[in-house]
Amino acid sequence: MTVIERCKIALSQAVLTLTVLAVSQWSFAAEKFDSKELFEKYRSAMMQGDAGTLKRMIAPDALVKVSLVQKNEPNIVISLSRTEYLQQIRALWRFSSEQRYAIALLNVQEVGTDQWSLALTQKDEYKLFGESIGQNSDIVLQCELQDGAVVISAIRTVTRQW
Amino acid sequence: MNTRIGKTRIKKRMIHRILLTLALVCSSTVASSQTVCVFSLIGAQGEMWELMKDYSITAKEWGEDITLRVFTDERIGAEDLKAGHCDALLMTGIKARQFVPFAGSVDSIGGLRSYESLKVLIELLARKELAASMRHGAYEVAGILPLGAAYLFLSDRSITSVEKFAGRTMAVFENDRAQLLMAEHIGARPVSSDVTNFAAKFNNGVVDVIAAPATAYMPLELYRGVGTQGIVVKLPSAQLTFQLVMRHEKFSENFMAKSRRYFADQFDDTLKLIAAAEDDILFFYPPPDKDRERYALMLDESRTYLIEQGVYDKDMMVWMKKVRCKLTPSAAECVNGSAW
Repeated sequence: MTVIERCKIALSQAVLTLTVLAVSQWSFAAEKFDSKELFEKYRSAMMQGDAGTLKRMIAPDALVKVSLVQKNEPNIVISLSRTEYLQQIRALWRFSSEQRYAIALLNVQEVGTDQWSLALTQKDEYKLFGESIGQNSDIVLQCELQDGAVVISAIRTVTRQW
Repeated sequence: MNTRIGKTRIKKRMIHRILLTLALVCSSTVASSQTVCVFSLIGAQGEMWELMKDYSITAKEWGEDITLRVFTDERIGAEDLKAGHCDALLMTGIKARQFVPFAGSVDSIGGLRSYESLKVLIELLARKELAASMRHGAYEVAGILPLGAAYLFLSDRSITSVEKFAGRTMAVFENDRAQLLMAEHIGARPVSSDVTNFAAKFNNGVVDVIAAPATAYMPLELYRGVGTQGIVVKLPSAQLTFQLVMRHEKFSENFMAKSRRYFADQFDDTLKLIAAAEDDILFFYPPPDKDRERYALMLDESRTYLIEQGVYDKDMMVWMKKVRCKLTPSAAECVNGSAW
C-alpha cells in the first residue's frame, strides 16, 4: 500500500467519522426535542393563564408576527417583541372573562438543523366588555435549540374574529 | 449734657426698635408659606399628590415653607397662578408652554420617541447652565416629571393607516393649538374638548380618535372607547410631562435649581408608575408593519409644521434634536443639516 493510498484511506475514515459524529449530534438534539411535550406545555400555559411559563418558553429576542384578518380589507400585519406579545396576552386575560380555549397540534416539521415548526389551531372564546367574542387563529411556533434547550424563536399567527 | 445723652439713648433705642421691626418683618416674609398649586384630575390623592407632599417636606429642609393646594381644573389653576393666588403650579407641559415656551415645548409632537431620551433631556434641563432658558417673563420652570407618552387611541382598528385619519373625528384640547393644527394637518376633523370631557367623548363614540397617556387609561376607563374593535397605537406621539412653573420672584435661584434637581431625581420612580399603567392596556399594538415609517414621518412633518407656525420654541427643538442624535447618531436626520 502506497503512502498516497494510506492517506486516502485515512482521509475517508476521518470524513466518515466526522459525518457519523455530525449525524449523532443532530440525532441527539432531535431526540431531545419532544414536540408533544412542548405543545402540551404551551397549551397548558394558555389554559391556566400562566404567563410566566409562556415567557420561559419564548426566546427573549423572538419575533411575533400577528396578522389580523379584516372584512373587505387586507390583513393588518403587526410585528411584536416577546414583551409586547406577552403584555397583550396578560391584558386580555385581565379584561376578559369566561375564557375557553381549544388548541390542537396539526403537524410538526423539521425545518433545519435543530429547528422545528409546529402548526397549531387555536379557538378562543371569551366575554369582553359585555360582548361574546370568538376568534380562530392559525399559529406556527418556530422552535430551535438554544443553549441546550428548545425554545420558541418565532411565532406567526393569522387571526380572524367572529 | 445729660439731656444730650438722654436724647442719644432714645435715638439708639428707636433705631434698635426700627431694626428689630425690620428684622421681624423680613424674617416673617422668609418664613411665610408659599402656595404651590397642583393640578390633579383626581384631587388631593394619588401618586402625584403624594410626590408633591414629599416635595413640600424636602422644600422645608431647604428653608421654604410650602402649602399645597389642589386644582382639578387646570385652567382655573393657571388663572390663579397668573393672578398671584398660586406662587407655583404643577401643570401639564402643554399648559406650561404659555408660561415658559422653552420648557413647555418638551411635549412637542414627535419630539422624543423614548423615555430614555426624555430622561437625558430632563437631566440636561436640570443643569445650572440652562437655568436662564428655564425662565420666561415672571415665570420659571422648577421641575419636570414624565407623565407618559401620548398614544393614539382609536375606536376602529381599520383606521390604522395614516391616510385613514382623514375625515375621522379627533378630540383636541381647546387650549392646545398644536393638537388642533396637527389634526387639521392629517385631515382629521377636530372636536374641541378639554381634559375633563375628552375621555367621555371617546368612550361614548362622539370622537373616533384621542391622544392620551397610559396613566389616563384605567382612571378614565378609556378601554370602553377602544372596545372590542379598536386599537391603541404603540408609538409615542409626544412625551407628555408635568412641569412645576413658579413665579420666580417668590423663590430663590438656589431653591429653583435644587427643585429642578429634585424632580429630575424622581424620573425613574415616576417611570415605574407609567410602565405599570402601560402594562394594563389592551389591544396595545405598534403601527402595522407597512405603516410604521409613514407614522414616524407624519409625526416629524407635524412637528416641523408646528415649529414653522411658531407653536414650538425653536431653541428647545434644537436641544431635542441633539438628544435624539446623541442616542441614535445613525438616524437620517442627524446628517440632514437641519437645526431641528
